[in-house]
Amino acid sequence: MTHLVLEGLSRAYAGRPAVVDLSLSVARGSLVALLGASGCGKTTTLRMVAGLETPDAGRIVVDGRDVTALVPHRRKMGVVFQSYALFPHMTAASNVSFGMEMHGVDRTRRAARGAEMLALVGLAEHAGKMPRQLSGGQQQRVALARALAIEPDVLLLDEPLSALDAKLREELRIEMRAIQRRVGATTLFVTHDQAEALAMADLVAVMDRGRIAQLGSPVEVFERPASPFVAAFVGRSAQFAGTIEGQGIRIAGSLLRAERLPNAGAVQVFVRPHRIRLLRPGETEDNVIEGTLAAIDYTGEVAQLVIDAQAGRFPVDLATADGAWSGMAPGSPIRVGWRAADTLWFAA
Amino acid sequence: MKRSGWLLCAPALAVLALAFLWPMAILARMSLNETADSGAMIPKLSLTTYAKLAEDDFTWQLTRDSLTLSAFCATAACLLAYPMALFLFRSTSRYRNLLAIVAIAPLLVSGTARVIGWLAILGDHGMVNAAIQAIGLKPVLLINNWNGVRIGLTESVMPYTVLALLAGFGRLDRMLEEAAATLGAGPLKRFWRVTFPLTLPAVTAAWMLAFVLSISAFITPHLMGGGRVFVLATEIYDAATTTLDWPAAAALSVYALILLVMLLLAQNLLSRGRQA
Repeated sequence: MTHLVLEGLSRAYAGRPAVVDLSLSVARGSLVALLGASGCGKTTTLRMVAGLETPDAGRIVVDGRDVTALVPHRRKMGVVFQSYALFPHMTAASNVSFGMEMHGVDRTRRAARGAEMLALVGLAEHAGKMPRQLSGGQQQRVALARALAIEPDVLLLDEPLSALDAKLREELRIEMRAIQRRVGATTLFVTHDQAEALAMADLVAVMDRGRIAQLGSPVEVFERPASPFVAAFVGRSAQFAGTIEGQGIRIAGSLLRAERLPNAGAVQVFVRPHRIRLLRPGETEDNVIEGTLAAIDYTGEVAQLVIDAQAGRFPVDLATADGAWSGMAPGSPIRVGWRAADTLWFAA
Repeated sequence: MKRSGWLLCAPALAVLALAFLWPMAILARMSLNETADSGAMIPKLSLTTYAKLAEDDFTWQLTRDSLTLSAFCATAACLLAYPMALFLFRSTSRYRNLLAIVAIAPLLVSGTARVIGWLAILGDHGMVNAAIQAIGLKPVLLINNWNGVRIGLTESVMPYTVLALLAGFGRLDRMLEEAAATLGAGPLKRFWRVTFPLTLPAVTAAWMLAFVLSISAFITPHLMGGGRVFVLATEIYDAATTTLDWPAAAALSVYALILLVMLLLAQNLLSRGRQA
């Protein structure tokens, strides 16, 4: 069931459009990620939902109620800010109960629910600490507990993990997702980190210059990008420019096979690096490219290869489990290939 | 402090020693002299002058009046400067710097010139009284009395409070007020629960600065009081230049200094207690 609806939202700053006619429906209890580079309008969108920015046009509807004209303190949106914005002069417990106090919850219930929220984020023992005595990850959890404590209509997360280091970020994103599921909060999540968006979201809205370039499940957005922008933004790719020739795509040095090709025209080709595999002598594949190995980076689970071919330079990810990568040296000739179904193409 | 630290501070320390510590030492020494009935200064090492001051009710009245006046002016200046400083701090207008300069512009004018301006505005036939009389009310005495000193002194310390508040607003973050708003706090609650507590250290610092400046002010109480307002600073001046009782002037100065140091220590202790 639809819970949050954004209808034709627009916002410009000094004549420069930040969000352009953006529409989006979020089902109750689901988590939608707004994914995009900085300046794509994702944070402006979130701030408009929170009431911190006023849209130039459009409506924001929560549970069938138009909240567009409401000031933020009458909206009941739980916001977790990028910098957490914890009140530095209050303990973790006071931070969490602040919102309940503002909503007129009585003292005993505040204490009980505050303790419950802190326990939910695993900080029961830190209730009496000031924000500056807490680590970044703990501050982030307090911010989440504070936002959830008011039983918000919608939970709004603005790059909530970006200030944390990589390992903690991965731990917390699993934890946050679990908490979000448990409390069933309808959530709008702003991030520039595609791994975060893919891992956490039910639906990903990829944003480009104030518009939604594609709205889809993480799998759809990654495997079936709707446009060259989405293909280039979400995940890495080997990219080639080509033209339709017969049943294939002619690129410099090879004829590529793909599915559902038109009869003519110029096309842009994308292939995910992990879909490309190393071909042993005599082995063949739908698509084959020969080139020289330009560089090889061992990153643990995969070895990232860079290959120079006639059609250009492109990346290939090789699983390291079989040890095939270890014999390779930059400068040596290499043959790689991929299936026709893995050739993503867009009419240019 | 490391040697390089001392070296860097040396010029300032030298000036301080020469222009402040040395005269203060002379002053302290002088306060231990006595005054003969003829008015002549008798070199001695006694506390007679202090004893005389302590016995004199006028000293206590001066102390009380000086402290009350300074507290009033510091409080009034902070109340008036706070909204202005908050506005300047938050403003994103391109005129912000211009407005800040306007706010502290009174510092560019000499104290005497400002007092003369006040005399024209507050005088018996000045703008304010003309307006009051025009609506049919009785004129109010606004100069040559405590009212005049309060108004003039508040105005003269206000630019400093604006600067002190602006410098102290560093901890204030717009994001915190936004967070409070999303948690359901209206404008008043946001101010009292978030903005004000975070600016409290700045307010105490600004208040203290205004207080110290007020208690040591001489020109404004002297000119705006029209000789009818007595505070520590005017009394020191009178003793030094009119009655030529130098030991008394020196003793009063030392007393005023001790008073201020004690106040600063108390404030320091209080703010440290708050941080713990």
